[in-house]
Amino acid sequence: MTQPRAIRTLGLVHIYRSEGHDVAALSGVDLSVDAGEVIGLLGPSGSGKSTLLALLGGLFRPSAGKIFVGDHELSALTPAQLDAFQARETSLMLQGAGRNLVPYLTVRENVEFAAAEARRLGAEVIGVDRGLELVGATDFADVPLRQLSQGQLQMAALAVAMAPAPGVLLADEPTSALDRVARERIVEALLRVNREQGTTVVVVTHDPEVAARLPRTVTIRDGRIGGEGRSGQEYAVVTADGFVPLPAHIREELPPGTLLRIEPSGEGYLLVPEVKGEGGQE
Amino acid sequence: MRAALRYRRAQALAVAVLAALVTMCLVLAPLYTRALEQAMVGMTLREAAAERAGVRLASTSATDRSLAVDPAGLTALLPASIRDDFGPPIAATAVDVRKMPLLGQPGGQLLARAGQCDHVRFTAGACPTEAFDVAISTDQATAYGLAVGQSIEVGEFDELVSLPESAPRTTLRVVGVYDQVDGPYWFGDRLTGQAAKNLGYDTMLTAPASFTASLALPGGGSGGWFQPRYAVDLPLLPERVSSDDLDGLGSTVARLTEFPMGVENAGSHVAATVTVRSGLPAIADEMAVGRSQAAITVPLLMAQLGLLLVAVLWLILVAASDQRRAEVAVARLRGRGSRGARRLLVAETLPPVVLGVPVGAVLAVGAVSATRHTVLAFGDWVPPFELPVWAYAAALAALAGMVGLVLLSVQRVCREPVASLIRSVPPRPTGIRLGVLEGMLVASAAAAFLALATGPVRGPVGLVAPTLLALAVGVIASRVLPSLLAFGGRRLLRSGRPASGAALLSASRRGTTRWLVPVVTVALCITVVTTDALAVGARNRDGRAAAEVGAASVFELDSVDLAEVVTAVRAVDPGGAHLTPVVAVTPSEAGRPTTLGVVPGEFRRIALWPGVDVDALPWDRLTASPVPPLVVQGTAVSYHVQATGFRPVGSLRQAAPTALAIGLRVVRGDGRVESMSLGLIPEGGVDADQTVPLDCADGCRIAGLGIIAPPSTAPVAGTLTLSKLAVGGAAVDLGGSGAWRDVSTSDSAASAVFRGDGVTISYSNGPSSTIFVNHGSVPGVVPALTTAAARPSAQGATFAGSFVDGSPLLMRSEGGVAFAPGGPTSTALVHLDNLLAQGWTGRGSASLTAYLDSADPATVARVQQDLAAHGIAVLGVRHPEQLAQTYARSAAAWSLQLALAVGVLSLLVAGVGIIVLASTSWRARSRDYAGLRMAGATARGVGLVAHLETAPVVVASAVLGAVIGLWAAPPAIGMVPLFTTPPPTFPIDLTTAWGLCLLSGLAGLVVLTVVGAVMSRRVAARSELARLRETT
Repeated sequence: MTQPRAIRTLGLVHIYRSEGHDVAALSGVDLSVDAGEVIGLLGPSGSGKSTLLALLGGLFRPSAGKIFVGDHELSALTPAQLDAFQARETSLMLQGAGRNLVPYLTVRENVEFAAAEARRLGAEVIGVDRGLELVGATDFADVPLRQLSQGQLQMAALAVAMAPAPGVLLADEPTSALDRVARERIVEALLRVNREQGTTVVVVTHDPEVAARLPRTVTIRDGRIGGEGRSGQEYAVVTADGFVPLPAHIREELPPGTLLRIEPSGEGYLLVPEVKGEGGQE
Repeated sequence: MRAALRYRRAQALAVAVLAALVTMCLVLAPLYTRALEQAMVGMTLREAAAERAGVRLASTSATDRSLAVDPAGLTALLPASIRDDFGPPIAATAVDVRKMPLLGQPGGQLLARAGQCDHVRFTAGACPTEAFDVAISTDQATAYGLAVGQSIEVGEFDELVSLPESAPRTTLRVVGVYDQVDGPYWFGDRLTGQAAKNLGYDTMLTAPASFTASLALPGGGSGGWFQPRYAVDLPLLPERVSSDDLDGLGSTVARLTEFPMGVENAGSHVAATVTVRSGLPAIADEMAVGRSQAAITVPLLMAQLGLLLVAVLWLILVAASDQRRAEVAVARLRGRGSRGARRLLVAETLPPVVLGVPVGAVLAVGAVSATRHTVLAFGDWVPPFELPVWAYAAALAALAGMVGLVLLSVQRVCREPVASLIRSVPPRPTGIRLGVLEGMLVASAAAAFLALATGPVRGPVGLVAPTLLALAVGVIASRVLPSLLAFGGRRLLRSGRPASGAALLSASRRGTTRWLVPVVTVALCITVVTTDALAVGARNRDGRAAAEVGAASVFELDSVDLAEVVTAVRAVDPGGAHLTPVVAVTPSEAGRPTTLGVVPGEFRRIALWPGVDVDALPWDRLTASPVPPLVVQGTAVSYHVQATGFRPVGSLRQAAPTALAIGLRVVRGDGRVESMSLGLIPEGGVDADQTVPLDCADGCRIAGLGIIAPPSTAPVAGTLTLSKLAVGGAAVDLGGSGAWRDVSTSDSAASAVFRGDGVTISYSNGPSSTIFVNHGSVPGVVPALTTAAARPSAQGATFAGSFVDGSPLLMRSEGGVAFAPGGPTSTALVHLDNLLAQGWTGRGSASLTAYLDSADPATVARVQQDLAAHGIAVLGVRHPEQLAQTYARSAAAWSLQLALAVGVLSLLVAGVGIIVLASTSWRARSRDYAGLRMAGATARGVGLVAHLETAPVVVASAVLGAVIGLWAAPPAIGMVPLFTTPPPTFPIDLTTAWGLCLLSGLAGLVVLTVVGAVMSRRVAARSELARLRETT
């Protein structure tokens, strides 16, 4: 078993520069993931979900806000501490299996390569064979990468990511460009990793079928958390500063500038539009 | 690590090859320089005549023979430190003897030289073994009617003292007749040559006992030779002398030459009797110059190639690091940090580099070994192989430098943020702005070039100037060209040519373009410059040899008679179409030029004039006198003389003469000039017909008419009129005033006025006892074309030239020549007839030659036979090719020959660079091409795009490099020594060898373009649609 880590972000803002302009990828994300939980990050392209994943993996430093992974506040880590954090505590699976693998090594060698630094730092890593077995990559462990299918490569990438027995597994589109069978195997493997190792798993996905398999999903929209789904039920999320993003279908009916009256109603609240906006304000 | 190397084996191989080439360049420089030094020394010592490379110690005393040091003593003078460098000493003793009774008799040398009979061939008799037995030369036997068994009574004859009455004498018994066998044993001594011309005996070989046995003395009793000459010849053993030894050997021999008996005895009488002769100090100096040239030229040539190699290696290492961005990202993602990533990269790129070092060292050794056995070999002798300590240092420096390069090359990728590393398309620098390093590189290269081209920095370092310039321009062009390509690409797109436009746009954004431009620019520049260096070197060696030899074949003639030579040459080639006589008169006084007597029309055509517009020279001014010679023949001269007497001139410090002789100056058939008396003019005058004897039975050419005063008498002045002049009964037509030339100096004058058949001569002789009006056939001032060193300060001014008898010959410079073919630095070219007119006696210092316009062996042999048939033996034949070969076997030439390898290798390296760049960028390119295929482009269209993406970059860079090379080559090559010693006469011609340079540039362009095309084709062939799915 690994040491599952909880994840918490507070007012996470990330701004990057593109073609001379500042672009806000994330505009105040508050997210909590319990240790040992499995969540999916959903959202349209450019919504900021991959950026959020990269921030959780320590690839960027946020422009503002804080990220806690286990006991670590990532912004406070020195480069060496961040290296150690990446070696032992968290594993990031990049989109595209090949980008996670050293091309001239076999799957087994890749797993060994990935575990080496964690082992050197004294972490208790999963054995190579155990890691391969965990994700179902034993059959092709010694086959050169160029002979593997896309699905096998993705399994190999997952095995590599799990090699250091991380507390958190961050997977960016692990099922993209895969057929249904391969996709199912990957999702199964991810859930097995969580189940058997207790690893906290954060998966970025576009795929509604994959999302449906996950116990919790968080939708990122326009750099904010736009909603959350639990066991098939969609929820709006109240942010730390009291904002509640409206679900997409309601936003279409309530153009920007609409004035709402909010009244308690039984166990819930009633939103009553008083003055309709004209849509000129976003 | 092995898996990593296997995965990118072509790249690893390329890195290993380049590392090997870099190492080879660095190691080759000291190895080749050392081999070149050894070859130069070994060849020079083996090629040098024995007397030049060896040492001759000689001793004699004109006053006391006991002061002369005998051979054993002479041998002991050689310092022990160099004794082993020489072979066994060859001892010799000699005296000068003459046939009794000495005066007016033929004389020669009596010589006993150790081992002499092994180096002559006996045509009769045997080797002399007893005292006073002699072997004489075949010529002597023939000329003086001597044979084995006959005796010659001789006495010692001292040219200086000459005391016939007191000379020791003996009777020599002829026991053998020999022909000298030429060889190094004789140390350059010719035993024969006198007797054949009846000038005296040749050397007579005798037994050593002849110099220890008693001799009869004139006053009775016995004694020894008065003035024996002792000598010891020490032949050098070239195999014992290495390049390192030569300096020490040269300086030791130089000291011995200066102070044969040691410094402590310098100036003593004993020391004065010993002389030492050797060319070793000069050889050592020559070698030192050659060594210093090679020690700079070779490393500099290799440095250029090294620079290119390092640049290509660097770009490959950087490209390799870039190619491994994904792996670095993986390592970083797994927490390895930048140090771990660096370890990963270094573990992949360093092994090929380390492997390349020993391979390069072995290649260098192999290349030098091959060169030793081919270019540097001299006959069967091959320069020894040595591994100087610098070679080890160079290998270590190569290793250290390349390890440094590897570490530097991985630095950027390892420090890059992971977020940047995981991007599919790595960020590329754009715009024309240079980086700090590039800016520094450009600035320092440009500054270095300017300093070399205009500043005080001189010498072989100039060879790198064009490369530095090409590097600077290449780096700048690599920034400018992408913008131009992008501009061109957009225009082509707008004009509806999508394939070409897309290709240019694509080329403009490729990172490889930035690297390709400087590499190809530098490579082509090096190729063109090295081609020019080779061509200019060869042209100047040939030109210098042609200028110094003079013609395709120059026959050295065994004659002192110019008229005889001219006659023989005319007989062989009546029209002078191919063969012409040339005489060189060496000046008897310093400061005077050598006189080169030529037949202008023939010389202009037959002599070699490399680099000179021969038709532009003022040949029409190099004329002989238009006045025909006035020749008289007979044994008596008759004339009528009328003279009014003469009067003393000036203060009477000397007694006035009582009579003057009427003088006639003539040139005899054999060239001798004589002044004859035609009768006297008494003090009171004369008016009479006279007939007097004249010694002109064989004909005399009249050169002057005047008076001869008794010696040591006061200057006089007067007039005399001669008429009815007849020789041998035939009237002599004096020709009128146009045929005669008055003489006037500051204190003497003679002028002639012609009336009818008579001439009135007014004279004032000044301090000279003779004064003549000169016949016009003897030019008073000889027109000459002069070299710069011989030229007087003003054209048209007169100067003293050299005549064969040592007297000054008044000349006037009618124009300049860059050099005189076959003549020394200071030479005056004159019409040969003007020398004949002066009276050619054959005395003095002159060499007679014939220039032939062909080097064809059959023609040369035929001319040689024809000349011999006309009584002129040929001593030797010189050809420019022989001399050019000698110049080609010099440090300067050998160093330049390396340029060929450098030029070829630079193209090879650039080709490897193109291949590696194509290999490292093929994935991205093929993905782009797959995109084009997806958009509907045909395979052929994609192939065209691939070609168009590479070809313009290669062509533009190659043209740029070639242009820089062509422009910068002349000043750069001007700084490189083409010869060990600069040519004394031939002006170095640095004109660019346009044809060869353009050819080599074109060849380089074609080679690199083809390499680029082949690689583009391969990349285009891999542009399957599946590439689009690749993420790395």
